[in-house]
Amino acid sequence: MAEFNTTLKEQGDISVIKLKGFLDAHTAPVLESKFDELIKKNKYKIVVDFQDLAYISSAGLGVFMAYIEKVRENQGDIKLASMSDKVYNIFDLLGFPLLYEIFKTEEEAIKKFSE
Amino acid sequence: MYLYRLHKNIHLTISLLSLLLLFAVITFWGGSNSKLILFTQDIVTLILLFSLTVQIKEYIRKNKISFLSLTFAVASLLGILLMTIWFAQMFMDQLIQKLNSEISIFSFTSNLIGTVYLFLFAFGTAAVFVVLKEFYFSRRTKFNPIYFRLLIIFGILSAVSFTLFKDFNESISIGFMVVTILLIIQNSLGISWIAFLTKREKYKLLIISVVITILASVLIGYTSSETLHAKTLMTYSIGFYKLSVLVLTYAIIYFGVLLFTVLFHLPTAEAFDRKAEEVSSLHLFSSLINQVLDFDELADTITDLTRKVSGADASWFVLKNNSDFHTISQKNISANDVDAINNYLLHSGDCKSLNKAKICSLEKTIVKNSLSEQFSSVIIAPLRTQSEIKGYLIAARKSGLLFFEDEAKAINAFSDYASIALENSRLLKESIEKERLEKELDVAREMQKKLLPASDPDLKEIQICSVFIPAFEVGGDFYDFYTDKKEEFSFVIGDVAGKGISAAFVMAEVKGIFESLTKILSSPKEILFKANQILARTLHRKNFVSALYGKINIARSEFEFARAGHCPAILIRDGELFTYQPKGLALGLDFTESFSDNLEEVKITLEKNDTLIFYTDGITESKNKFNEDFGESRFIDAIKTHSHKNVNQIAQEIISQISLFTNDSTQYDDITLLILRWNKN
Repeated sequence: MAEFNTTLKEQGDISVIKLKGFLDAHTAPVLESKFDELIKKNKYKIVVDFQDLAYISSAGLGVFMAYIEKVRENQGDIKLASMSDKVYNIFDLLGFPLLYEIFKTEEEAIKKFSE
Repeated sequence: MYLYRLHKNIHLTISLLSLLLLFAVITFWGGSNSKLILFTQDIVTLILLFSLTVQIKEYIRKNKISFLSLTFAVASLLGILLMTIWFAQMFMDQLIQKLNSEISIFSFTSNLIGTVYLFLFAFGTAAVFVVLKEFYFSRRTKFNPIYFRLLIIFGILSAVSFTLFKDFNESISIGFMVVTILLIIQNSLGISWIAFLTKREKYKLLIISVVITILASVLIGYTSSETLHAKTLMTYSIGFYKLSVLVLTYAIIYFGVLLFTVLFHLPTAEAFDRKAEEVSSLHLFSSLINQVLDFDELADTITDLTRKVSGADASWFVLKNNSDFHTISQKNISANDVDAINNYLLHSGDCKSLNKAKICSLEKTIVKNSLSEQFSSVIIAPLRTQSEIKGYLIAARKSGLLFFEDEAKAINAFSDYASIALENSRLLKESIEKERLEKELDVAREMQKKLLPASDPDLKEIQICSVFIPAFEVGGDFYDFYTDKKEEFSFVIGDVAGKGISAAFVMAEVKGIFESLTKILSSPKEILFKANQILARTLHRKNFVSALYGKINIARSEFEFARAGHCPAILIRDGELFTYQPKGLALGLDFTESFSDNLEEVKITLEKNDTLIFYTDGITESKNKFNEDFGESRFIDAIKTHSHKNVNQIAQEIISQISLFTNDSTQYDDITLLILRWNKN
């Protein structure tokens, strides 16, 4: 299918993962390895920027579920930011806003960590 | 026992008998000048020689002794004969003298020793002759046995004629001898078998033929008629004496010619070796193409052959992986050196982007200093498929010598074969992997098909139509109907996150859970809550499940449903469309109280001809070739346009709208569509 890639940006002790393209069952391992990498380095304050994400499937959502427990156990969190309406609707349909903090912008999410 | 063996080996019998006969003749008529006696001696010795040659020939043929070993055997035999002569001169001088002077007198011991002496020389002569004959008949381009037969005939004639014409004309037998020697020269020319020896073997042969020529010359020296040796032999048979001289002459001439032939062959021996190697490698190339099942083995063969065809010290190849190159199967070189040379060849230097094999010198480059061994020259050849360069084949040589153009050509030819073999191996691996995945998906699809209802329930009050279109990879959609309870119709529709066999397993579990819960509970909210609790024990977090559970109380015309993260429910009443998306988390996301706190139940009182539509995101997320979604608005438009039709027609229209939109683009997710129409007043 279509391409997917991530870029990682460090801002203090907060890691920002920017997603781009299509996140589905085939590209999910790319994001999984990114999370593995961060957890290995004990970086548990994670912001995921959805600005350039065109599509997310249920398997893509599953990636966030797979890591959230481990991250929160270590006093961290995965915060989501800059979702398009379409992507937000998918999150919303499944009830993800109950489980994750979702912000309009990446800055807001980062700010939330420093509070 | 002995007799039996003698009977079996007629030639051995003949040899022994002729020796006995000779012994007897010398015992009784030794020293006689009678022509008949002398002629008998000659004939008996000839028979002895003949039987010996036959036996030796059989032995050589049976044991398939190589030519090089045969020459070595000849050298050894001649050496032994020479030693015998020396030994005889030192210790048996007296004895032989006695034998000669008292030849007429019966002397058993001296006769016995003389016979043994004769036998030794007869054996040696026969063996040398057989070897020479073997050489003559091997690898002849122009095979002409007539010359060799003539040689034998004239040899025998010259041997016998000495005795027969001894008294009146010696020139006849000398004439025969001259003819024989001319034939010997003729037969010694055109030695072709040495061409196929390796360089090492040629050196060995050179030394042996020198030794043989010297030994045979020394032996000939002892045959001048005044020596003890000559006298002894002549006592037994003048013919044999002459024959032994002839065979020795043959040996001198043949090995002399051989010596020079080898000498002239030596400078080209190496080139000849390499050409022979190339030819045999060519044969190996073609076998390479079939060796595609085991990639590692193939890689080893490729590097081995690379070294063989180019005479390189080290070899390896690199394969392109995205923009990187991976080194595979390096031979005789350290990983560090490979990396350094790769770096130089592929990223800097003048050997990048080439379309045929190229020789590159490493002398005077920066790489040379960083290498642990003194590699000075490399050949780099591209490994190509029709369209692109897949990698490079590299051979390196130490020794400060550059590669030659013909070696580059050989590698170039070889690299073509190697790339075909590598490409075949890759394609095979790919297709095996693909087949494995397809098998797995077959199982998943089969499972999914069996888990879904075989047909739609036939109810008086509710028209039901379900459509399920599986994606190639199994998307995890499921639905089920429950009609066991009186006056009640229930159903579930859901979607397991993930794909393939793992999604199919979760589906099976979820189906079982709902089937049992629907029997003991009746509230959709309760059923979803319980299902979530049960799934908490087994479900992996990333395999959450969206589901919508609905129940129609037929008697009360009441529809009740709850939604756990699933797509909204749609109601069409009098041509108007209502979407219901009550709160609700997908199953498997949260196992705390918050799940039930956030789960809403909706109750609708149904009116006649109300149409209820449930679906999975496979519909709204169907994509066309521009990766655009079919989307909610197109979906709703399609429903609105056709809502007045019956349920089957509506379903049909929606599906055809989707396929019009996607227009043969791949379907990535399962599509499930459930349409119910309330038929009761």
